[in-house]
Amino acid sequence: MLHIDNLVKTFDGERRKRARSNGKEEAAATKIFAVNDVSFEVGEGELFTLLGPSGCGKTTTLRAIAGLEKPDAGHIAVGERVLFSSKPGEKTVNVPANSRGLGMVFQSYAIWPHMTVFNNVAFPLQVMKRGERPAKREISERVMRVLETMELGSYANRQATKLSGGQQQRLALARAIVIEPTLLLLDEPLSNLDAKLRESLRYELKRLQRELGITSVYVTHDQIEALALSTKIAVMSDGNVVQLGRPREIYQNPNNKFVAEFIGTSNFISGVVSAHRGEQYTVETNDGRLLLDSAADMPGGTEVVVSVRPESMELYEESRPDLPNEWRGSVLTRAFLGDSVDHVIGVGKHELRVRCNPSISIAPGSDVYVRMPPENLSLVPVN
Amino acid sequence: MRNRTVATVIASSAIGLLLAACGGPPGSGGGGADGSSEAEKHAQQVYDKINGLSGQERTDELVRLAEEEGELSIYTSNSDMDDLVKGFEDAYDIKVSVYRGNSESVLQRVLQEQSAGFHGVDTVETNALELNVLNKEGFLAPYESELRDQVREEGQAENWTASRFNVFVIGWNTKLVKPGEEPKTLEELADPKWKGKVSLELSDVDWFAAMVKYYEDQGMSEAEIVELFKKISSNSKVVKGHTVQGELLSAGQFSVAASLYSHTVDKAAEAGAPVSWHPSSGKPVEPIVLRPNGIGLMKTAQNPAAAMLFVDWELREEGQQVFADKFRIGSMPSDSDPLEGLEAVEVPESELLDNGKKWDDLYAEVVKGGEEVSGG
Amino acid sequence: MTTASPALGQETVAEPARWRRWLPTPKMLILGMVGLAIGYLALVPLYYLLWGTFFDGNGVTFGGFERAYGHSQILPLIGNSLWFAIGAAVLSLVVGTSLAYLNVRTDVPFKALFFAASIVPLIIPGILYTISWIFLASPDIGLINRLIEPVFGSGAIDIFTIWGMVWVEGLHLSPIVFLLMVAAFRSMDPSLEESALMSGATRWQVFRKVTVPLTRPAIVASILIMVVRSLESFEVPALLGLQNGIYVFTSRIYFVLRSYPPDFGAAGALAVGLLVLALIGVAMANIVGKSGKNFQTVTGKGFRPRPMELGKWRPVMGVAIVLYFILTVIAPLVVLLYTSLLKFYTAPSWDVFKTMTLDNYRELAGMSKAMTALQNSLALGLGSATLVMAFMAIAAWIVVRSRIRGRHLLDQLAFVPLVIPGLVLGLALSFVYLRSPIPIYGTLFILLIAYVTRYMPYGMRYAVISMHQISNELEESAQVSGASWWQTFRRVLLPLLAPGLLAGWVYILVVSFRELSSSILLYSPGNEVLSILIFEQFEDGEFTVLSALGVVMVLTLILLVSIAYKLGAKVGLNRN
Repeated sequence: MLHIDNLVKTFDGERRKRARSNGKEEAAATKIFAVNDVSFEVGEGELFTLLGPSGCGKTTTLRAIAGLEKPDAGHIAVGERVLFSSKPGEKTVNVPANSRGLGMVFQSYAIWPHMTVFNNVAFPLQVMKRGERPAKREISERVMRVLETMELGSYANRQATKLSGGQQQRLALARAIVIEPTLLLLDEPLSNLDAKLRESLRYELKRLQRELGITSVYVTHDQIEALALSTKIAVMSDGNVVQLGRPREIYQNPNNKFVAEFIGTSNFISGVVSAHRGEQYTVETNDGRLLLDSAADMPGGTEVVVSVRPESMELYEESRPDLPNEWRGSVLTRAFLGDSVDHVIGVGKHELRVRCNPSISIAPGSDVYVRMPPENLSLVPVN
Repeated sequence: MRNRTVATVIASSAIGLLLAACGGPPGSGGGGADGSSEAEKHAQQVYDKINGLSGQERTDELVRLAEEEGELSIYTSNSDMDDLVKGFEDAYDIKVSVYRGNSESVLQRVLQEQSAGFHGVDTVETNALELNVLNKEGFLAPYESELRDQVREEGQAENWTASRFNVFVIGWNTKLVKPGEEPKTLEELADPKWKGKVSLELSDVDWFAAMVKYYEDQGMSEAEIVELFKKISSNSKVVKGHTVQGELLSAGQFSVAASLYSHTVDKAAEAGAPVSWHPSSGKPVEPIVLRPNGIGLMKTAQNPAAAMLFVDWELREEGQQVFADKFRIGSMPSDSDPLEGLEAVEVPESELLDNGKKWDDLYAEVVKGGEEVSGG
Repeated sequence: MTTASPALGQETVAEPARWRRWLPTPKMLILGMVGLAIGYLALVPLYYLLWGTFFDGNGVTFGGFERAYGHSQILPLIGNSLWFAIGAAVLSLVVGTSLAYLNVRTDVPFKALFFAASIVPLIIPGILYTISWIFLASPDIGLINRLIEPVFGSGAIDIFTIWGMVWVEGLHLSPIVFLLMVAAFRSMDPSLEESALMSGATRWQVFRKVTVPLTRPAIVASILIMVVRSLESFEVPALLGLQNGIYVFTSRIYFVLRSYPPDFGAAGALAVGLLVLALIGVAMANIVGKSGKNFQTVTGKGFRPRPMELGKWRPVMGVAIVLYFILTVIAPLVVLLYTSLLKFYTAPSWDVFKTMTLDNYRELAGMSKAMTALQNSLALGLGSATLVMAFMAIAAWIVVRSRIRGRHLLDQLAFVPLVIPGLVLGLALSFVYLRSPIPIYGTLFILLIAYVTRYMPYGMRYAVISMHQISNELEESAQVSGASWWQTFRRVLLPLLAPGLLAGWVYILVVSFRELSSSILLYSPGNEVLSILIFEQFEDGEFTVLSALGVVMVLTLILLVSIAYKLGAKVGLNRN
């Protein structure tokens, strides 16, 4: 549905003097790669998320799809329609933003403050080319239908700026989908809302996306949002896609330390692969041996990091030697979080965070046994 | 570079347009010679024809030709032009259009139009200095008539004719200057007792030059004269513009103004303001300074006959009466001459035309209280 | 290299037929036209000025510079000028900004007075405004001095000092700042201030640390215009400074243009000096505005402006407002009205009141030219204000939003006319149009061109400031919604720019009624404008008729501007 190939976008960095071979200095603009050779595909009806910290290039990628930023090179197509293409030796194609027929929700909603709710939503229909533009009555029907879907029907004639935050967010969404775009782009649409509202809107968004079946590209820096909403996630860092996969894959099997660190909280234990048979690995660490399953292909002797999520570990006051990967340690601190209790356990030199059911609470200083089920451990190569 | 820059596009096309419009840089002048010779020839014929006639025959022919033209364009800095034109339009079947500006803009406008070969003006009515410049540039045609021969001698200038005189006098506020305490001479205003009570006007170079010439004739050296003026200046508040000066004198901002127009004072006094240039007893301060304002015919006039007829009109009784009504001094001697018996000096016009810069600088130096500010 | 590619590339559209590529898009046509118009309007007089400055009969010369700057007393002159200009700029900035802030963001009482206070000083011709102040605060005849004499002794206030000059010029200019700043404050999200207030800052700290920095582009633009305007001003220094021998830089221009032949070389050299100063200012304003998003206070998030409550300061501020109003509006206006009822100016007394008459108004009504002049001035004022603001709105988009090369040059060009003396502009235009095949010499159109040229710099500042405040996303969201550039501009940007554009429009309309220095050379019989009439009355010494004319002008323009505001309230941001 959406194809992105080898997308590159640079910005001018600061100018600096560069010495040339003939001794003269010339000013050269350094290039900063905002997006560096990014490729991915989004399937029909998917909600695809670009996830990463600020400055990772996710918004630039989204803006390039929207046509708001002109890439230096690469290829963007929706279905059969090429939106942008620039390859050496070929003619550059660049469809202007206003001819791409996409819908977009901006971080700040970008609701036009001088218009009513109705006019904000009607705008994309009103500016259609003569011939394609629906009749006035149809515009009004379509706008009202979308507003009803968004539960904004009764606010149609209100000044757009007089809406609450959540309502404005829904208005922005209504405006983006009123033309029934082939592709919906969402740029951190929930980041301006308070936590509670964010959560409820997150589910609403997912429901809507499913019901309407719109292929969407979603940009966020919030991994929970990404995990909860997406069909697929691309984690980006420094202009590159570092891992692409389904939410569960990304969460459970981060293929590098950046992803593991960025997605949720992880415990990292470094060690060396001592043996492996098929997908069953044995890793030696300073504090003991770990058995785990991994699809990775690493010969014996490879330095690795084993990543384990706090909620994937179990805590016992008594040893269960029959089960693998049991380490002995003592409770350093604990924190009550409402729906869970976090314990920090000292094992040798390691401090491991373990999340437990709220019924379990062990006083600091007590000796405990930490167990890490092999299926919950992931192997992350050391770069 | 793919992107053509705004800069180059703007710069090149604007300069292109400008050059296309001008056909050359400013100052190169010239142009429009074809039209002007044609127009000039026609105007010259009319001027010659009328100047060759006299008496009733001249008048009849002039009126006939002028009404045939039916229009007249005047550029002027004369503040009484509305009344003059009104009388003229009532008397003849001629439609008059008047451009009124200050004397500098009248001059600049004529210079601009002439250099472009645009013939927008038939006759120019303004100050002596500007008329002399136009004459020097060769734009003015001679005007001859019995009326001109009667004009005061000072007013029969080369190729233009005075219609009235501006008279510089010393005026005072009669509430602040008690009868009997009025100044008797200009020198007196250098006395410390007038400290802060006198007013000079910033641009009255012509008055200044006339007074300097007068004192030189009295035998004073230039250094002494400048010294005298600096003393007066150090007693003075400097004002820009005679209207402001007259208004502030009435209001009492200062007691005496050294170079007021007589008509400003007379008009204000008529309205009831406490100002005068005639002391309670005796004669006004002498000498008074006369500066002619006049009218000249354009060589390239489109309506030469109407222009001539208008000059006639200004010099005839009707025109002169308009000046008298506004307390101005007409250029034709009359029975009730307000200047009768007063010692008058003239503004040295040709000196100012040739050495304008020198006088400007000297006067600027004087009004700045002796402080040398103006270089060059 | 594609380093400076336009943000919203338009070079190749995917589908259209080949021939369409050769047709410029409407966007390019509009931008090109505006760019050309600005370039043309600015370069014609600039070219004329520079030619006169650097060339004489024999080739390149710097004689003008020598004559303009090369003498012993130039430094004190420049010193006086700077003192005067900076003083006036600071005063007008402080007064204008505080008033704008109080008006827009607080619950200060007497808000209705602001409207009059913002435009009346602009309408009163400078010479009348200054003379009113002489009548009020001269140590010899000033009414205020007479009132306070029993307490402070005679002549306590002296208007004929540099402080007096700063005071009159500063007050006269403050409406420009007021109009600029009102537009800036209007479109600012109060939550920015409220959050600072919540974090414990005092109101004054909030104003200094949050409000002022957010409106920095407007403040820099105000300072720029004020300083250049005051440096150029000669009315106030001539009427107030000369009495005590305070000379300024512009007296040089007056002297060199007065004598014959006028020394255009020296006048040009002085103008070039101002030009350099002004262009540095514009460049600085651009740098300040560059930090982009910081000033984008009109965002897609809604806000509900709540006026800040002044609490116990409310009555204090109320008194201050009334005082200011009396000083800048009532006092000069009363002097004007009073003078217009007299035959000549006299200090008020019982006898004087008995002689008051409406003769001056009758004379005005009987003047056939008066009606024509009023109509022409109205046509020119409305025409030039509308044209300038329409063009500058688009030019501001080029400067602020596009990434077209040389866009900053456009900004600089639009500012050039501010330093070109009116007389030189008049000469340049008559020079061109006397020779051009376009037959507009001697018509109202040449005046229109002159006015549009002269007021371009102000229009540009108003438009650029407003453009800086509008968040990019509002424009981008329209584009993504499928709107063409022109649709985006007309339906999204224009309404959002409306408060700033309206302020600029009002300013230009009002001051265009006073334009004399280029009008006097360019008008033609039948095309008189009000300023010519004012000039004639002034030359004729009809000071009292002139005052009557001033009163009529104030009333006309107040009516006109009220209508404009009423209409303006219907479009654009409805935030009050």
